[in-house]
Amino acid sequence: MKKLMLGNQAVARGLYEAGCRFVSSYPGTPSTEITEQAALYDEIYAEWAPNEKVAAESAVGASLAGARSFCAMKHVGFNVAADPLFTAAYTGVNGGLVVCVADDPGMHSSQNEQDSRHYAVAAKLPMLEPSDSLECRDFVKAAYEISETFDTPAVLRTCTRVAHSQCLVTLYDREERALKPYEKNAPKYVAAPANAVKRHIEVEKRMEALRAFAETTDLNRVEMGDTSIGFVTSGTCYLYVKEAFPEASVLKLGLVNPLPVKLLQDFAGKVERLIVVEELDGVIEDHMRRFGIRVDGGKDLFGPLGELSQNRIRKALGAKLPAFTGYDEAVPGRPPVMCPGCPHRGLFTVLSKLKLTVLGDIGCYTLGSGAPLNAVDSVLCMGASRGEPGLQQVHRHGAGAGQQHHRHDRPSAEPHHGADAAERAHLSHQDRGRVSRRRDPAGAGGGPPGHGGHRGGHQRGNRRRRAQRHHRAQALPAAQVREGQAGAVHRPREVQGLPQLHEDRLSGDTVYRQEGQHRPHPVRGLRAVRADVQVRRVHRARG
Amino acid sequence: MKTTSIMIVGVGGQGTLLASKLLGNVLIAQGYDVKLSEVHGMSQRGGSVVTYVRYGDKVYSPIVDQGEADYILSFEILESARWISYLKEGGVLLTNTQKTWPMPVITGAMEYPEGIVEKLSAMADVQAVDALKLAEEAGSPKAVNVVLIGVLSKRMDIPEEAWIKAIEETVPAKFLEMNKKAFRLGREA
Ligand code: SF4
Repeated sequence: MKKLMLGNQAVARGLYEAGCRFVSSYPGTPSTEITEQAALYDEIYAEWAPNEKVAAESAVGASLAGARSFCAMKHVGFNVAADPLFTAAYTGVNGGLVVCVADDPGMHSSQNEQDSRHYAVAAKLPMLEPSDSLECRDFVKAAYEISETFDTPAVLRTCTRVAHSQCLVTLYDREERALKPYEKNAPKYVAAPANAVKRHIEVEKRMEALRAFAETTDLNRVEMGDTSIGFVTSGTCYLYVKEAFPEASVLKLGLVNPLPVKLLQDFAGKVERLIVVEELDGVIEDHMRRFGIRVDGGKDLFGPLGELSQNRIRKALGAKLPAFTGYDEAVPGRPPVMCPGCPHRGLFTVLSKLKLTVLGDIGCYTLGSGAPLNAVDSVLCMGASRGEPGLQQVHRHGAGAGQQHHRHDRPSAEPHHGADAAERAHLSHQDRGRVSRRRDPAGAGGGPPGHGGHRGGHQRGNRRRRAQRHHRAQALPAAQVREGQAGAVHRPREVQGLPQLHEDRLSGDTVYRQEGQHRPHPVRGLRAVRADVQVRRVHRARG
Repeated sequence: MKTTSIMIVGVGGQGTLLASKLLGNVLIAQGYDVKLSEVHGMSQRGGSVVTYVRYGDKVYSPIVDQGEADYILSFEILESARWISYLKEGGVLLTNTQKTWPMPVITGAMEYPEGIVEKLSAMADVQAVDALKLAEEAGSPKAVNVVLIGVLSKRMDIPEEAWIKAIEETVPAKFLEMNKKAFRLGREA
């Protein structure tokens, strides 16, 4: 049976057909639908984790327990999950483990367009890159084979166009897989220095074996056509190349880490002009140049920015572009806005009226920065409204050494962080100007809040503070407003230092509460696979 | 058969996704290779939305580039102006005349341009339809998408029964009659 499927839906189908039993993810566009769709199969346990790190750890746990397991995230989520995944490359797997990372070239709904392929190189993990839904399904299966054959987590890299495009997919049955027996194997799974030293040797051997595999696998495919021009490409770029130059020869790379050498050399030898087409960074091109393989055009033609398209490829290579006429008058933009009735509209309106410094957060809240709200001063990444202590430290005290700013920690979600930061920042824009003037090492001016030492303590400042206190009392639970009563007083993480962090780790449940993380432990995945329970939780998505 | 490209453009929340799903189902039933592409995420919140639908014997790229669309099916007249550069020479613009003010117009930073239909008509083959009125006539303003699918169906070489069948498979049973009426009104417009 053939079905029109979203790339993400096809990844989920691949999980189902490959006999995957465990999925733990953190949502984020364009990866979210994978886990939503996987949850629809009764054979798969699927959950939303508190963040990508926990999701990856849970998936590692399920793999240890012998199940084929999976974890999905958007590109910036990989930054969060990198810690466990870099070391999971050392420990290897028991049941196959596939991690999907969805990049967002063109930043349709992201704060940056980092290229995840660098992670695969840095973590020494095999990475597969499908170009459409059909390959999404097939490559998930291939990734599990690689994971179990080479004893490594395998990474599947998609991008917005692959994740959110639909094409026809033929459906197959699920291949049920028995759990692999769990065996205690400390030298492999305990990443203590003495073990890890030996495991690193295994990692390098594995990469050697994977490099040999890359030369022969049918994930990489040569399509010989007109030899006057040949393209080396991967993922969605392959489709743009075929659209723009249907007659040309193409080497399509499905395994993008490690990359082959001989295969590329041979292909380069068969074509007159060799062009490398890849979105974002020149990962393939750099690899080719390192091995002295001729490249006649690559990043010099396409640059590192945004999405490619058939027209961008035609244009870069001097081919004829389709004719078109644009509208000759300015067309007002139509930016997305917050939903009617969104509670943040009111909040941002007040913040904007009070002219407070607002450190916002990602997701819908970025919309609070646009007209007509114009409320948000900064958005960095998920949880970065937590930059507030740093801002206050400098604004109030200068950045002098030995100053410590105590604050309450709230494990609540980001919108509150944003609100929190804004409500606490008692600096008007005029005040900010003043702060920059008093950025002297002595930290002159301004005592702690509420001690009357701050120079904003004139009439207007006071009024502002009253309003903001009033607003805060409404916005936050009473327990959190009463200073000194809500939870332990934490210092900013930068000040906190290693011993504190270590202590937190040992206590198990309360690590990094400001990032909303819990139980940084594969135990959850292990337990879930063994008890075979079904839990589905819904969390807020990134972007 | 050469690949045909259709763009469905509109404002988040107007039901463009259902329209593209319906269109996709019709095309698959006709035995074509089909690709559909849309961008989720932020665009859902009242922003400008665009879906690409491409079909033929073998479709490669999931997206439509400037000067490539055989048809643009537009749910809002300002969006027609925004995306007109994607229409190929000799392509057809099928547009709803409905106006939805974008934020810069609401805040007074910009004016909603006047005379868009006339201007576009001078540039390309344009059929302008008051789809909202027809949808209301069919029984619900929400049926704008099916009215517009009706308008598009008239231009494409696919039998009417195939469209009706796809509607039956795509919309919930209790809205079926209303949607069929909306489709017919669009087709006759
Ligand atoms: S938080 Fe986002 S999705 Fe929720 S109501 Fe507000 S704008 Fe809409």
